[in-house]
Amino acid sequence: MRCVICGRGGQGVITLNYLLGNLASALGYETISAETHGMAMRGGSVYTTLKIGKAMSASIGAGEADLLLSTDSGEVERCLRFLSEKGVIITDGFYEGGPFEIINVDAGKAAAGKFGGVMHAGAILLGKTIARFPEIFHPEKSVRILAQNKKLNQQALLFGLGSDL
Amino acid sequence: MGRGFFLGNELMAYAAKAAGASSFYAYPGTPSSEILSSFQKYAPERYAQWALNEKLALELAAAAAISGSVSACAMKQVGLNVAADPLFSVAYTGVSGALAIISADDPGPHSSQTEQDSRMYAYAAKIPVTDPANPADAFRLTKKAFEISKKYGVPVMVRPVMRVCHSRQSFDLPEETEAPRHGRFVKDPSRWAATPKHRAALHIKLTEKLKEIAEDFYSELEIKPKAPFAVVACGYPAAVCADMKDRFEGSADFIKLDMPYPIPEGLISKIENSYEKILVLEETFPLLERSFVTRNRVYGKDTGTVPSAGEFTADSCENALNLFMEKKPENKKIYAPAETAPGPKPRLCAGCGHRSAFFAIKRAAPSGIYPGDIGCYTLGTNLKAVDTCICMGASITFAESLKRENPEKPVICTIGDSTFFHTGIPALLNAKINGSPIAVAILDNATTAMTGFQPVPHAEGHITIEQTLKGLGINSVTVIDPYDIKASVAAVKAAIAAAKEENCPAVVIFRRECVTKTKMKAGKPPKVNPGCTDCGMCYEVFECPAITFNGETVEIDGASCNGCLCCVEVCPRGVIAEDK
Repeated sequence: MRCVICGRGGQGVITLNYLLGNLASALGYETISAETHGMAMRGGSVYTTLKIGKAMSASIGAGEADLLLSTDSGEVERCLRFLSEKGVIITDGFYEGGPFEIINVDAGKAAAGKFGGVMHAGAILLGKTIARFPEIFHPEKSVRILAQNKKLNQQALLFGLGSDL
Repeated sequence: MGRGFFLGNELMAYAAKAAGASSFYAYPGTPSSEILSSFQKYAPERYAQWALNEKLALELAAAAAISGSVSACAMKQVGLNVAADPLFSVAYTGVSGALAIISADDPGPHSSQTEQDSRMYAYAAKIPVTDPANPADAFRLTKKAFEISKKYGVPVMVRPVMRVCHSRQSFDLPEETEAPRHGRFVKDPSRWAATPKHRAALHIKLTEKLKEIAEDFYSELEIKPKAPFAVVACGYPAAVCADMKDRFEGSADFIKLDMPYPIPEGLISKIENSYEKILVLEETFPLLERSFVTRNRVYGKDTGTVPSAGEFTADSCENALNLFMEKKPENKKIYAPAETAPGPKPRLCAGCGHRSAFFAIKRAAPSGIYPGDIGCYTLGTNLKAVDTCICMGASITFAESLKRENPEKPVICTIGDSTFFHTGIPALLNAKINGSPIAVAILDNATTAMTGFQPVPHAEGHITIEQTLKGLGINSVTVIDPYDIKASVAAVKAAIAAAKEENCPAVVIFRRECVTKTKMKAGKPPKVNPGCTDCGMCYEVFECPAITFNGETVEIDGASCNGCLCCVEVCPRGVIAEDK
């Protein structure tokens, strides 16, 4: 599975990439990711990549990504070139366009309203991603693994996953 | 330690521990910064130091290795420029323990002033260099670098690129690590204090060693041609290409070379003689490509098959393979708009003291020339308060010379606290002894912010900036809180006058801790009164990220605003006001 995770510096893009990659790795997959640090951290557009399954690099070519996960709907378009036509978009806020399956989540609002701050939006998006790809992430197993992460807002994660767990 | 999802920088640090490194020295710089902090995390009982600059880091590690210890240093590629002097010399003397020099490159560049290739330094200085493709490879090739260094007594470079440093990979950390190796200094003036006469002999020895190292390293690599063509790759491009093997399987063999220098002559001619044509993939200089002699059958950067600048990507790899194999590009359906608006620019954080310092400098001397330096505050370009940015410490030297060339203009340079200690001190002393009437603004946020908040000497309590300035003979020194814009403007004006009066640099220290490091909230966000005319002063010119214009008036985002209240001073109409 090839993922592009994007957003703006400071929104937790690198953290989200780490959480998803670390989870895949803990589930036993060979996993590799690429982050961008430095200048980009200061509020600029930022994207990271993640490959779950055997790969030597996290580099993703045009039209190759299965998932575009965005912490900011305004950043989706900038990374659309990576997405395969069968790809899925999961984004905070609202995006429409293209032949893609789109899952819009008001994660920032929900995080601020229900879980104590926008910084927990990432946990909601993580939950949504796990729920959308159950054959890869095995939700019950993922929840058990992620429960060990004390910094992760577990309620926000479960909210993202949906109520059936 | 077990399985984890590790950063390339973490795995290089762990490899140093596993190889028995007893000390590690570094100066922070993206993308190398996490290497030393990871060594501290994995080997807290061993010695780790943030040196004041890369030259010092390399010398400190080299001296430890000359004393028989296993040591390492890490820096970014432009840091290696600063460390080049000891690098070339230590290549000749060699070491008696082991020395690995990790120099992280930044093709793109993403967070650097150049995309230079550190491997060219290894080539020029005549030391071996390994070129890892991904984090797991970085672990293996860092360990290998220590092994070569121990066995042959030469310093060895490890050259990861940003995509190796800042990639994470699932990896099983080996349980076994070597105990830290400490040595004792054994006098040998013909090596450690070699005069030119001895240097020639050392050079001959080094050249011989390089041949042995090349043969030794590649002794197990067999070239068994199965296809008519070959793709020869090293470093990150090898990883990208390996993931696309299906595109050329059967037509071309894939050969990954882990050490681009030195390469045995026999290996090069064997590859040349075994294949009709050869594509070479590497970053960023065609070092390996130019090792081939039969130029007309070798494709790469020199033939335009691979771009000569910019980062190597899956797309550039596919394009190069198509050109090389004379294949038509696949017709992929891409639904992205042909052009997207450029994304938001990186900018200084809300409440950053640098922003108001720049604002005050511009207000104090609107016609001034503003040489800048390397760090978060390079973003002062957005505020039009940085006119030059060359390399670490160059703000002060540029100020001295620009003032000489443009005597009628006030020249006010800005330099961060870490950069001041890095290379700013000799520059300021030079300006002092040459009677340069410049104003120097030291932006003191008590940390190395851009690279992840590494410590600075004065915040650790060893010395103060003021003590240093006194020692440099600077008499006009004002310390100011940049949140007080009125006082800041007055301080800059006074410094310009004092510099002129005394024919000597005058310094203003803008002191305000990094708000992102301290997560500091200075107070309540201000309120917005009626009367906003959308002049853009606060959100465009002052560029505060907490302020936006909603079509009618400005809005202040309470979550990101830190309550510095500088916008109250900046707003020309008094619309933004303190919320008492």
